[in-house]
Amino acid sequence: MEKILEVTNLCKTYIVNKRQNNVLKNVNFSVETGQMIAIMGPSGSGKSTLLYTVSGMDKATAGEIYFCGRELSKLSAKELADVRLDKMGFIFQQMYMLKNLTILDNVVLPAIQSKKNTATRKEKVTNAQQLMRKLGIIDICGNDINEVSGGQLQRACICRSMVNNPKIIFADEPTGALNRTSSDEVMEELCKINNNNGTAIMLVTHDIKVAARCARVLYIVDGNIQGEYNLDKFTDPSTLRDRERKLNSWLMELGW
Amino acid sequence: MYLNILKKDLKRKKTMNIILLIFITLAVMFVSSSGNNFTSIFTALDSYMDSAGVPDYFIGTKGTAPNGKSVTDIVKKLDYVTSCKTENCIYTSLDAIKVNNKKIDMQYMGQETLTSFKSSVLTYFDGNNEKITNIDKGELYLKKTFLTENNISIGDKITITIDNVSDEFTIKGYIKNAVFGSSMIDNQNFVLNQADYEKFLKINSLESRKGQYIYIDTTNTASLKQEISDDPTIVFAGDRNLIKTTYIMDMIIAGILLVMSIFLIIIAFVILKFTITFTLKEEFREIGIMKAIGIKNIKIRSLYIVKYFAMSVTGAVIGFICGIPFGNMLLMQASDNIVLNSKSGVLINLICSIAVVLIIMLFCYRSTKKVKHFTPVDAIRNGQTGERFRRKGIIKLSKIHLRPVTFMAINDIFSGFKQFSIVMLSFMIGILLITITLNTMSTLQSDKLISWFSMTESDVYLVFKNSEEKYIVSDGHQKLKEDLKEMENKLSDNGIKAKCASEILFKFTIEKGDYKCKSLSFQGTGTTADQYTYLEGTAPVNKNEVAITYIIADTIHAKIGDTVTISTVEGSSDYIVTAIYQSMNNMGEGIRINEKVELDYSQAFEIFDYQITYTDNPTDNEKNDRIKLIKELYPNYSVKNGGEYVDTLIGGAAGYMNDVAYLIVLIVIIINILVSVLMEKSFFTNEKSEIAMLKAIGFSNRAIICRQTLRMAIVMTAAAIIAVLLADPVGQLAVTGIFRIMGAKNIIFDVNIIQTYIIYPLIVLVCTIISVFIASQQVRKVSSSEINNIE
Repeated sequence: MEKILEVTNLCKTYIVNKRQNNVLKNVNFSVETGQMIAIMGPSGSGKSTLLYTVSGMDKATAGEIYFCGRELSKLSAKELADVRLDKMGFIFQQMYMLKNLTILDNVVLPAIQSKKNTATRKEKVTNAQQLMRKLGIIDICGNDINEVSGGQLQRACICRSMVNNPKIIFADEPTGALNRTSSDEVMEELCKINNNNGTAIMLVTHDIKVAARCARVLYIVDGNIQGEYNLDKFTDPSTLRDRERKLNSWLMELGW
Repeated sequence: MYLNILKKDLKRKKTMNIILLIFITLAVMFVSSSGNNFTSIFTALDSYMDSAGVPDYFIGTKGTAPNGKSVTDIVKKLDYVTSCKTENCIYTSLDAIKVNNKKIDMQYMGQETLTSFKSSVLTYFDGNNEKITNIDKGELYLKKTFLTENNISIGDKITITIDNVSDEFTIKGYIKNAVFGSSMIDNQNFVLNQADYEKFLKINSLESRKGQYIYIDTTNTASLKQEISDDPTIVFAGDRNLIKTTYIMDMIIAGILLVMSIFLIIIAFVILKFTITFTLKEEFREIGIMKAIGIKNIKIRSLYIVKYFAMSVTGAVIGFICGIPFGNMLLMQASDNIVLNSKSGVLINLICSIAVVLIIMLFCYRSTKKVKHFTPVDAIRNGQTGERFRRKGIIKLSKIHLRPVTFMAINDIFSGFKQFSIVMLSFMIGILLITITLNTMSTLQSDKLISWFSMTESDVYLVFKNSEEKYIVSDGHQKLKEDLKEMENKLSDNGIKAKCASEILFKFTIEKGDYKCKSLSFQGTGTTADQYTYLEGTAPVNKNEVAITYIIADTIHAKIGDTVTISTVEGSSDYIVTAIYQSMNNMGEGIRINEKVELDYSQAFEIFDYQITYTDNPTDNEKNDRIKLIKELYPNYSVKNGGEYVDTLIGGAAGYMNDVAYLIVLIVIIINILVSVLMEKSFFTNEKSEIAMLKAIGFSNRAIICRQTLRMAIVMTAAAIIAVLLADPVGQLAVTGIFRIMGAKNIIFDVNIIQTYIIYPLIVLVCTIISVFIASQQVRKVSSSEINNIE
């Protein structure tokens, strides 16, 4: 399998009130095409920082991050923006969307902005609508963002992250603001995308149920990867409880 | 606890609080300085006239009446005259004056007199608006225009020679003489020490040069006017209102500054209201949380009221301090000829500053009423309760073929029209102010204005450096015709085909029934009556026809078709009024007499300058060459084109008006930049999370900066277009009153379209857009990873 993301000796340091805070300490890992990987750890352990740093949204203090063979630290702001637009997708805990646009417009926006996406505008809109149909939110495509539920909005965010057919989707606690039913629905959609499209997914979560759907789980404590747990690719929902149990006992061993 | 919440709030929302503080400071600065200017300018003339001691009626006489009766004798016998004070003067001419041993080069337009300070009736003020209390021997004071037009400085030596008497004086300073001080009046009055003045009483030709200034207080000005209307020694007479109207140019400038002050006040309050409402809207989370933990509405409101009170007091103090020099800078532009009463200036500044604080508190009180509408749910759901179904965007990206950046810019405007309308309004008012000012200035400097001075438009004007008294003789008309013919021949010999003309001025009494008045009367030589511009009726083409100005028509209650009687020294004749016209001579006086009427030119009052009109349509380059040639042919005259000549007629105010116009353009640019940048900062503070999100999904800094700048550019361009479209009607409305006072009621702006409607709005637009572009560079500081940290 091709490595799309390779992280070597990654360090991230914040200086707050003249005090140095080493959030990430020599982190090493890689993500392969089509892999679904979860990052877990206690609050303040550096999970989100790791996600934002490896996705190029934040700058690393030291170390190397290779994405699709290109070292992110060597890219200009414009090149990084292009990489994020065409090859990465993002989902956040809060469902950030432009307030003044409809759901469909929010979803189709990155596609129309992309120069690499050579489809016509009509095709881009149709593609966005198809994605929304797949995720069951086609009925709300003309709505404003304040007219829909949190679960619908998060699915719209997933559609937006998918609209340029990215290599990888970074998700920061994508179900954190959702109830259990909505959370399950959202994770089902992410797994489908991972299985059907071969899009790699790297997500940060506190939820074992969410992490159990991933093939790899990295456990991070104080900016260090404490351990890695490998599971099979999640294809059969009936195995979910078993995966959760196994993951839970591994996490307990690590002091979860 | 409240103090702690307040402290935290001030720290945490630093940017928005600083923006609000700046707006409060600006508002206080503008309102206090404008309020001071308002009162100063509105009361300026009356207070100046009062402090200078200008009477109800003023008369200037020269020489002695044939019947030996002086005006003073007549006036003192009138029972409705309560006071009559006189001041002697000696008439001289510019020929008699040398500065630093050089003859001065100032075109002749008015009368020059010497007076003694000791016998002066008026109170005079110096350049620093201080009362002049003494003039030492060997020193004199004169009018400021004399200094500026001749590049003379205070301290220079001036020599006055009349007949057999000559004396040298040091120029002590310039004088503010309330009667002769306006730029519209060309009379030069040199005020001397009594001993120096007495030396000139020994001149040989004293009798013909002696005159009097008569200051009369009366309870019946109308009767007084009628009583003295036939006196031949009167060279100038007018009531206090007429004297006030001679300051029209100063008042135009002051008026424009007033309009600008109103503009600043509107901007200040509109922006304040917006900023307070805007910042309060952003507080929903805090308000929700406070409500959730059980704090009462009244307590929450008081917290915000305390915060805004603290900020408004801080802003008011800074604004009050800055407002004093700012107001003085504006006022200085209008105070060259008038003594502006600014004694109560600081008090007015203080009152205005307190008023702004009170108004802010009122805004705040009204805005905080919304506190009771915020619920704890607002805090929990980040302001989105799911119950707000108000549709925001009206255009859809999926249905419109626009680049996302352009689409977002347009969509932002439509979605948040209220907030963008603030920028639009301030920008529109700014452009309107500039266009109205420039249109007024260019109209007042346009050669088309010549027709408002009872003359025909010509290509070149030969301005007399001294009074051409050779025509003010019985056969002057014939002599003038011959001289004009000779000029035409001389010009023709030098390759210039042209018609030459001139206007002779008389002061005739015109009456209809019981109504009569004295009016300037004009007769053209080298022109025909149909070449002049009339408001109604037809030109007086026959000998027994006249045209009169609407001011004269109103005074004697005459209309077209009426018969009026005009009295000259030869007797009275009846004329039919065939046309009404407008004139700015002597605030609207005028009678146009047909050129065929033979008048005794010995009774003429003055002759206007020679006018040359080309008959062969030369190109602009040829015109420039011809002006050079005419200057060589007529070295004893000052050669001017139409624009320059108009400037002479309006008292050389063009340069001064241009300075004011540039100052206004500069202030408007600064205000617009300030408003736009601060608005952009407020939008940015509110949109940080959106910007971070856009960056996260792959929008480059350039694209986001482009969006921020583009939407402001669209709003400002729309505002500029609306302002340009409104410029003419709004301008007419704003300045018609001013022109009407001068005698013109039908205003057609002389518009320099390229300069007024394209170049200046473009300059303001480009400067503002560049500043918004620079301000929006702050987008670069927002990192996409901050998305979860930004509220």
